[in-house]
Amino acid sequence: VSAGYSPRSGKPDAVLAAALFAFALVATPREARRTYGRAMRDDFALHYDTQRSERGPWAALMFAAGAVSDALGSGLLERFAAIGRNAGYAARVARKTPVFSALIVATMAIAIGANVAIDSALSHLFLDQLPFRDSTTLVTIMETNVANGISHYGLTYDDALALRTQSRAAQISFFDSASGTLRNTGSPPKLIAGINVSGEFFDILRVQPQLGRLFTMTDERTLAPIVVLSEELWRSAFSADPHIVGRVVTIDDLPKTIVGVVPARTQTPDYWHGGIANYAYYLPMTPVNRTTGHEYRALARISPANGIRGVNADLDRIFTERARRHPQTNAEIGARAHTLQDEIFGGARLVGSALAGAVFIVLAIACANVANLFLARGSARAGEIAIRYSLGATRRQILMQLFTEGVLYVVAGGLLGFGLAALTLPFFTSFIRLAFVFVTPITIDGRMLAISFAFVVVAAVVTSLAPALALSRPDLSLDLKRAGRAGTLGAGGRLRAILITIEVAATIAVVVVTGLTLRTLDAHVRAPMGFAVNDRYLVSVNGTSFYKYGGEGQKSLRRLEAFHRALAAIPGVVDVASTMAVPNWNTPDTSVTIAGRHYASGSEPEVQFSLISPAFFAVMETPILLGRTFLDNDRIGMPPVAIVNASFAQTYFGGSDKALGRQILFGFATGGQPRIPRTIVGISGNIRASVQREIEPMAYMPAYQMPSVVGSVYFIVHVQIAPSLIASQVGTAIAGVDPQLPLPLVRSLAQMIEHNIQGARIADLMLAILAGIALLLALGGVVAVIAYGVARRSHEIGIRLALGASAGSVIRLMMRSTLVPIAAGVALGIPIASLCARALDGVLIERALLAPYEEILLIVCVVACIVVAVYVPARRATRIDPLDALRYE
Amino acid sequence: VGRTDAQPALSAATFHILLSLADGDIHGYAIAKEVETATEGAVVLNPATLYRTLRQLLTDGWILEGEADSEDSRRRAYRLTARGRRIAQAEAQRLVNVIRIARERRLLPALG
Repeated sequence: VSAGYSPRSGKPDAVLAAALFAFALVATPREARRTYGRAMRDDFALHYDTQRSERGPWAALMFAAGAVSDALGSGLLERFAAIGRNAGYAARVARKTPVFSALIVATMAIAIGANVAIDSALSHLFLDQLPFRDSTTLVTIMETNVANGISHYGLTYDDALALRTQSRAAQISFFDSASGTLRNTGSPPKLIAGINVSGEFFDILRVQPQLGRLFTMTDERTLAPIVVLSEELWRSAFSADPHIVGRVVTIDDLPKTIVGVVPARTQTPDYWHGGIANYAYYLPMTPVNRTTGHEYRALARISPANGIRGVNADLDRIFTERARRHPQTNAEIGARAHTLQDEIFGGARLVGSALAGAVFIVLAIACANVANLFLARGSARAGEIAIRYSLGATRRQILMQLFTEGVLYVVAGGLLGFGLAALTLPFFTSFIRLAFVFVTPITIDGRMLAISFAFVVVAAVVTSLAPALALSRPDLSLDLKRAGRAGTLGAGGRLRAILITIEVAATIAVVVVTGLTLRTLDAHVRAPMGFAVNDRYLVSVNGTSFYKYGGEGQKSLRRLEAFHRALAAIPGVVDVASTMAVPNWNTPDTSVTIAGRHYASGSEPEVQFSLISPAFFAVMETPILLGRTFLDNDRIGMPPVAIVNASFAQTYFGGSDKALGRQILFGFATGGQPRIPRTIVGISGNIRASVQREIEPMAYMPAYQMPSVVGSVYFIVHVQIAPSLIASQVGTAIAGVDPQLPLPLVRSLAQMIEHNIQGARIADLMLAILAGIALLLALGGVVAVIAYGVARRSHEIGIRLALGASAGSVIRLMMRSTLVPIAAGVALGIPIASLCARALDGVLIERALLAPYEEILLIVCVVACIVVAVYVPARRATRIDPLDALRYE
Repeated sequence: VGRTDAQPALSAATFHILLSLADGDIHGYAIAKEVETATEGAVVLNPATLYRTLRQLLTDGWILEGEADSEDSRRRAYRLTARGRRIAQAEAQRLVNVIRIARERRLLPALG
């Protein structure tokens, strides 16, 4: 072969093949490519041309394919071999420093494990736990009233129709409540919860019939007198009769033909009924029973392409147009689509993000720590690195070796962390189930592995790359002459200062934010609920929802009174009251207007409300601050009255005395009837709706005055008998009134509060544990690194002492050089903490309680620990005989 | 770190490179050509494998690299070191022993 052969034939296929081969050579380590790259490329081109001319294009192509894959394979082989050598070396180094290694692996294991556990739990909870088919493309649409800040207003029938016909971004269905009394089933009449649904409803929910058929658009148009049953109702009221289709039942005195049964556990996303509701039957939506109220809820199926943004843009278009056309009713009405995730997990999401944020800060601190320890140890190895440079190692090789060492530690920590996370999964499952019973157990799955892998990669790069870059700087080869003893500053001195600053800042942020959150949650839990808790029991007779009891006013009133009498007759029962709202259980809202004031339609304020019996405030021991409570003769036919709480009086009238005697009108349950003004006859103390909620305006109406809507109320009984006896006594009393009723649910109000608090408590506990870990990690890390750094400067201290410096001045010098990054950390941490606190204010918790003294105390403690960590080794260093320190000079 | 003389079997690429250098110094492409010719195309040394192996042999001290060719600055000739020659001989001897065993076991026909 002639050395002068020009290898490139210039044919296009040869050029292309040469380019491919050159690209494949990227896999080869750089030094090899630099020295032999041209030789390899030339050989390739020469051989390609030879093959082509001697054996034809096919042979040349085969050669090119072989050579390209060989270049890739060969390069990777070499790189892996290098990584293997580095890893072997790192393992030997790790074995020589077991304490250091264990410290790093444990730190990474805790930080990565905590992140993996919490993020797996959260992604498990938020990604696939909803009991609907394709829940990610299912949204609810509710109206908003910008002027009033109402975000979940029902739609009016006209708005719902307009939405259905004009929406381009989503398929829309809508429904409203249609509870009624079911007869002709063979068992006694029963009040059950149902809904009217539009023709598209089941299509959008993606539900298939278990028996018969479901609704079509035709049923909606023809006003078909038909009903679809839930599987549960079919089973309980019709003994799962397989020939049910075609049978006629009566719902609220109207005959309906059963056309189908939906499968078991078919649920409806319904913001108004706790996010997810179970309805017993479904009627086709008809224009006949339409009302003018905001009573309709829309359920829509969005296309993934449009997304929720597309739907919201569409809603803006439709409602802007409606506001223009119907200024009387729609001036301030808009609409928003809400994902089911947000509707159902809304609050939990915020707690979840707080937890995820906290563990991530823990990881950040752990990474800073480990990076710091690498730096500290690296400066001890400056001599070794310098020697390797002088033996001809490239920076790349040194960098790769240091990096591989770091990655090895992080991977070991990550594996251990994954194990820790897997062990804590049952704990997380039970924690989540406190709030969301439908959640399936969290298991180790691909997602969890992916999360772990992501954290290991992030942690590896963060902890290992920066120190490796800092330590492998070739100008440190000056250290060769000092090989074997410490440099005065050590490698990466500036980086170390930055890391200390970040760590101190992060520690302060975690401490302040955690303290703030814990104290605020605790204050909420401790704040008075506004009623007596002990010896009070909730008796829930007929389900948990409130149902209309159409056309049976007097009868249902008599039944209510019968229940009252029966419960009061139980020996040991002090008093009985009925109520629609039960704190920590269910508190409905209604719109309300003040007589004489003008409101644009839909701009009425929303308040909490309840229907109560006269004894309510006495049973709850909630004071009547002004005026009177309801009396037995506040009944149908008597002047309509209302009671409001002090917060209502303050908010809407500017004081209790100004509210008394004024008239208000409730938007609740008007059913298309004109609203009646009710005179405020009393001002009550405030009752909080739940442990997590603040005091809000609330209004009460006498239950005996609105029997047409007394369907299912709750009873509160004040007892003086042993708790174990209560359930059976109450059961007997209720059965005495109506033996057909299911066994009532009896729960102590104290237990309900406890249950309500529990979720928050566990979240608190986890935050506190995380904050503790963060604090320990950060403090331990800073202290170790600083102490190590000072100890390594004993040589410099020796020189200074030998040159006549006093011990005090040397200690001051040491303090100054480390106190600067610490002070910077404090200065950075306090604004970060207050930013975080402001972000949390009104989001995670309704009102953050800022009481910075405890945090300031903690910050002082943190700084004090760090100062001691500098002082003690510096002091020890000054006691060394200068001759000892200088012996090797 | 490197290979020792006690290394049992050499890879085909390594052994053929050593064999091709036994006659005298040649450069990279010539090595590939010679191996291909000698094995009648059974062993093809692609450039990446060829130069990776050459670098390994250089590191281990089995071959030496000549100065760049004056005519063509990219081409360098390679030469076997004494150690490299010893290893190639040992490998050849090992193969002879293997073949002897194969003949005894009648895997190969006995020598005429």
